[in-house]
Amino acid sequence: MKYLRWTLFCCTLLGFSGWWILHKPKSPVDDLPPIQFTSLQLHFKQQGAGKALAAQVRQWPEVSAASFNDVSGLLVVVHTHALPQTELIQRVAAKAQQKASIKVFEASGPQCPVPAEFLYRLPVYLLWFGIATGAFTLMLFYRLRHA
Amino acid sequence: MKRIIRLLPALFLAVLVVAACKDKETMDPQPDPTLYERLGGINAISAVVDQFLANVVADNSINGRFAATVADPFRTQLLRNNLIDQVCAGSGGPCQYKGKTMKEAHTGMNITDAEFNALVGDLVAALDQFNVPEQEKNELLAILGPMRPDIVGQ
Repeated sequence: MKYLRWTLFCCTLLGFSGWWILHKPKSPVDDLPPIQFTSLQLHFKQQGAGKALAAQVRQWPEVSAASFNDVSGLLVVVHTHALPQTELIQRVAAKAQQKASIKVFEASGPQCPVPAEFLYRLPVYLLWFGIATGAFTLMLFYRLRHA
Repeated sequence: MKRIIRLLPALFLAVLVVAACKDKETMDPQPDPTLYERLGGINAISAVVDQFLANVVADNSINGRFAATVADPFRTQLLRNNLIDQVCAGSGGPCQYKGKTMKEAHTGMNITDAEFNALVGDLVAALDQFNVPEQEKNELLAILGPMRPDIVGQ
């Protein structure tokens, strides 16, 4: 029991110190709505039609940016989650009067096996680990005192 | 007369307060607005960064460099937030850049001058789209310019 108490105490210290070292200060960016990118492959015969479509898409309230590149034929739309990707594709296809297919980007070369999201959220996980083990440690100390 | 005499200390105090305030005003003139304020704050910067990233992803001369990032929605969001933080902090805003240093982030990528120039072109196009005045545009590019040696040829 004594061994468990001290192990939990060390885990608590580890959790809190890990959070303290790794946590990042809050930024005004954290208050901005999250966005997602959708890249669509389109084909226009008329020069400037793609750019005109991008300008129209930019006016939609859920869209924060849109860009069409004449060389690649890619329409890239930056939008909030209020506009689901499927609905965006339907709306663009209706405006462009053609089928819009998603351009899938594939990562090449060696990739980090640990997901970026896990690394980003690691300080929060450590904080919760510290709180949980801390609660257990206090409980064990309390039980031992009143045993 | 007695009433006026009684009011004198209060009057004296009021004069002192007004004088102190006036002194403070003359001593602390309004500071010039920072580039962050002139650009329009966090919302304007995020709009420009979103347009810049849209230009980059549509640009097939460099979008291959961002394939791994664009393939993962979380990494895309992280890149966007880091860019906003970087521009916000560099222009005197209340943000702190929390990403890797430019050298760390680009080591082993062998980015060429042509790729860097294409990226700057996409940024200028985004700034032009939002009609950012020439002075603010040049100040912003002057902040980002010194990063070139840490990005190209690493």
